[in-house]
Amino acid sequence: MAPERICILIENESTLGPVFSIDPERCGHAIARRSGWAERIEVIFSTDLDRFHATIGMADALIGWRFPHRDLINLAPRLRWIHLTGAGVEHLAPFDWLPPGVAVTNNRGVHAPKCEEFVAMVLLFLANQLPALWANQLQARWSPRYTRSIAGRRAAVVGVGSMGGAAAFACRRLGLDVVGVRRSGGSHSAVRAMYAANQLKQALDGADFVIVSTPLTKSTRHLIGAQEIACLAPGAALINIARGGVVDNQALSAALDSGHLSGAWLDVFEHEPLPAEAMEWRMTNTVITPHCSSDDAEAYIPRTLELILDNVERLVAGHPLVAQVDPVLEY
Amino acid sequence: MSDSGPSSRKTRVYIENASGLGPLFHITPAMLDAAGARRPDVLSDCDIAYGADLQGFAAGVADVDAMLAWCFPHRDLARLAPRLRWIQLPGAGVDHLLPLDWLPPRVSMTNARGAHRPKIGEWLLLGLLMLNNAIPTLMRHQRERTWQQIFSTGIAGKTVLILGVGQAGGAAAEQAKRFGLRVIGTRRSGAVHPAVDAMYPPAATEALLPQADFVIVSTPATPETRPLLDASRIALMRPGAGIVSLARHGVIDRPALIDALRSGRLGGAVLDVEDPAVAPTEAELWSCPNLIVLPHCLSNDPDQFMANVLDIFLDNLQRFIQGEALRNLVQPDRNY
Repeated sequence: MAPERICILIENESTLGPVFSIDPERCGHAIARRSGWAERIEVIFSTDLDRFHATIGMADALIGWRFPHRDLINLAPRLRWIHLTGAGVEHLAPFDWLPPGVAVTNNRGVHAPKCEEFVAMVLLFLANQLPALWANQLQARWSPRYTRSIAGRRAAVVGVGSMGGAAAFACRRLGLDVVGVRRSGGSHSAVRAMYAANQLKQALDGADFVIVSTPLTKSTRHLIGAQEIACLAPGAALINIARGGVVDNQALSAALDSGHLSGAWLDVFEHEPLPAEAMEWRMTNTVITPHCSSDDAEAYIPRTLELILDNVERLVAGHPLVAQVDPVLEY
Repeated sequence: MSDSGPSSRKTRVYIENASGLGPLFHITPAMLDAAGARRPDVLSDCDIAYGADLQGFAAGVADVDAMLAWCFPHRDLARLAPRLRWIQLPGAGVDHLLPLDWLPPRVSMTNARGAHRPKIGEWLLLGLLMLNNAIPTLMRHQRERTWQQIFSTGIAGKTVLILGVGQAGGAAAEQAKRFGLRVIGTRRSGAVHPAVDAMYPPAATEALLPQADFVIVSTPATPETRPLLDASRIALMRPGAGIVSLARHGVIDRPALIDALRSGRLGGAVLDVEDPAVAPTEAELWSCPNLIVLPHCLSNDPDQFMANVLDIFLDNLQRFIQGEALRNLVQPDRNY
């Protein structure tokens, strides 16, 4: 019997830019490195849906980020697996559209190395009160602010998944004491003490830094609000690399204005691109980066392809896929 | 020490504070006692006197053996303090005392290099990570309310060149290694350092500059290093490379740096500036694109710095009393 062939439709979105484009060349190289797979995988490339409707009917697997997901149940009779080339999948929730028997995976893990580096930088930036120093620079004001070594201070990581785990490793590398929050409450090698989701305030109590890295789901919207921020140590700082909706930015802004928090770094927003009139641009002691913390300019797609091809092998072998999204939990 | 043993005369030490430096640098008897508790018996052999802002300085130092001070009338010191044998500086850079031709041969001078650890390594690492992630540019975009994603590659495997691997440069090298960078460095001796993959003498600087994604400038300011990085050497750097500098004024030719940043040849710079008013470029510094100006504060941990200085001081005081060689000697012929 001839080995099973698998047909994969890769749907690229040109507005996301080249960092996120799975082009035939990189895809071909990744497949060629796996002995015997070149003849077993047929790849169809579609950009901005130009070939989507014509080819989705023959696809066993769909790789992409945005596509007419509600039509899949009618258009894709062969479909067994959808891989989403990002981590936060709230744009597809709720998953009531998911055809029965179709597995969904996401890019969790692909961001981790870059995320770790970025979080280390942000922690040092905030520990050194660079937001205030930058504000002074804009006013041509030379005004020293002396700040303690970051080693030994406490960070709370809210949502210790793949990115949160990377953030926890960044904390450890800088010598911080790390506590974490995850739904399961299960331990993690970089986290000294893990709390369950219903112990969030205990985890935040007295923390000098909070790193928000939960998925945005029906149960995490505005998870970090005024009460949670009040639990943090005076002079603490907040980092949001999750999704804009997880943090109540009005409450955050108030805490920055009052001086309870010394700084914040926001890489994600409720509406992206952040509109020019949004208050976040000018929040006190806050740095805004345009959702580019954790995506390695060169390694993002090669790492993505490794994850995808590992899962292709599992799919064909009948093994469970890794990085599965739970349609009920929405991540 | 040969003419008066501890039994005949206690060692007389004068501690001179300068209020202009701010409270972080003010040494109190309580701070000295706390340091003394970590090193029993040293202070019992000493008479310690305090002065501030040079009030009563001449009378205070007239009969002392040792002095802990940062700013003092150094050119008159030989005359004012005839018994003086040792000066401990509570900081690292001695450029404000150069040239050291005023230092009598009988007087040893030591500095506090090493007292800035670990804080100094942390902010130098921060500078590298900021440059790798294009943060100076992204912060400018924020000011302009411009949403423009800049995706960077990981810093691991990139090359940092550290010009002047002393205590600060060594702390930076250790942090850089922890983040996977390749570290190359220069130091006068060329001696190996555990966190530096390849060490060279300063003469190799021009050959090394084109290899580096990032350059850390951590040399003392001496006649030889003013300037260390001029326009021709900045031109040797890779397009888009970045500079992190904690060096004193004059070590980098600032107009040349500003030109390289304005033209986009350099990707960014993070610059510790000890006193913007001493440079004619002050106005341009603040507004130069992709330049972060730091007001000479990130190296000093308020909880640790002075305690570290006093630990160095008391260790040297014990050596001084016992007639042993002092640590952290400043060498007048080298200007650091």
